[in-house]
Amino acid sequence: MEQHEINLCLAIKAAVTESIENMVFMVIDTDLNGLSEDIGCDPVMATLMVLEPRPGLLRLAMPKSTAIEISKNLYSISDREPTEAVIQDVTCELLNTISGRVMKRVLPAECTFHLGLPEIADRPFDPNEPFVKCSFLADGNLLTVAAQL
Amino acid sequence: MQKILIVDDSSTARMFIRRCLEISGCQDADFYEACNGREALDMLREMPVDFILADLNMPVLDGRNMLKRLKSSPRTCEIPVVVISSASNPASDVELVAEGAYAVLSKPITPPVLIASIGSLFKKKELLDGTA
Repeated sequence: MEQHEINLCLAIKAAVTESIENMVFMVIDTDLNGLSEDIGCDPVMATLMVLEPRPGLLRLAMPKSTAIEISKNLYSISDREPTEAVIQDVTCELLNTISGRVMKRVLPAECTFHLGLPEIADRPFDPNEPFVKCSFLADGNLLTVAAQL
Repeated sequence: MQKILIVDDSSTARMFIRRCLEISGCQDADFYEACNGREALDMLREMPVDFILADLNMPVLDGRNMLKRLKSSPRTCEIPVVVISSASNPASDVELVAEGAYAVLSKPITPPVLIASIGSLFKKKELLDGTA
């Protein structure tokens, strides 16, 4: 792994930890303890474009069960399942928050940046694309963030 | 009773900001919500508010352009606007404050950070009202 990729990976780890722990109060573990990184056949995925200072892309993917758990924690609901609209909005807002924190860590303080709007992705991400990918457990629930910056 | 307008295209973000405000001592406030800057400006024509908390990156009319329009109107220029954005950084924060933002906070906000910001807004309003 090149230095740029190592720095990006560290930025993603910090951003995911700060975002999830502050928004959802779930503990992030960067050690998967041997668990598979496979997000399954029914994932929830979102993508966000970096427009400035140079084009880039960030992605969030997680099994539906993780998205449901995060949504329930965020909305403090335990007696019912969140709607599909809530799950998608939570996923997009989470990616939006994580992306901003990643950019702040990888760019110098004097460098402004401009993000696009997060969107739900309906196609699986191509594993052959040159993304730096990091997987985490949020209270034991898998999620993956990938970046091409 | 305080009237607070929350402007964000994400319903999750609006809910989260409202919850943080309630934890921070604004549980008795009247909350109003708008999905973008255009909707917020339309609401403000009918109803003045005490504070606005607005996202920066929104469709239709973004937070920066909404802020410019608010500050250019004598009717709305005194309303404090707190920008809450995922894309804030020291350089852009300085620009936003120069354009009239009361404060710029990074997502995700937390009650302690919000208390510091909103607390000073409350104090300012009480002094202006002569209720301090």
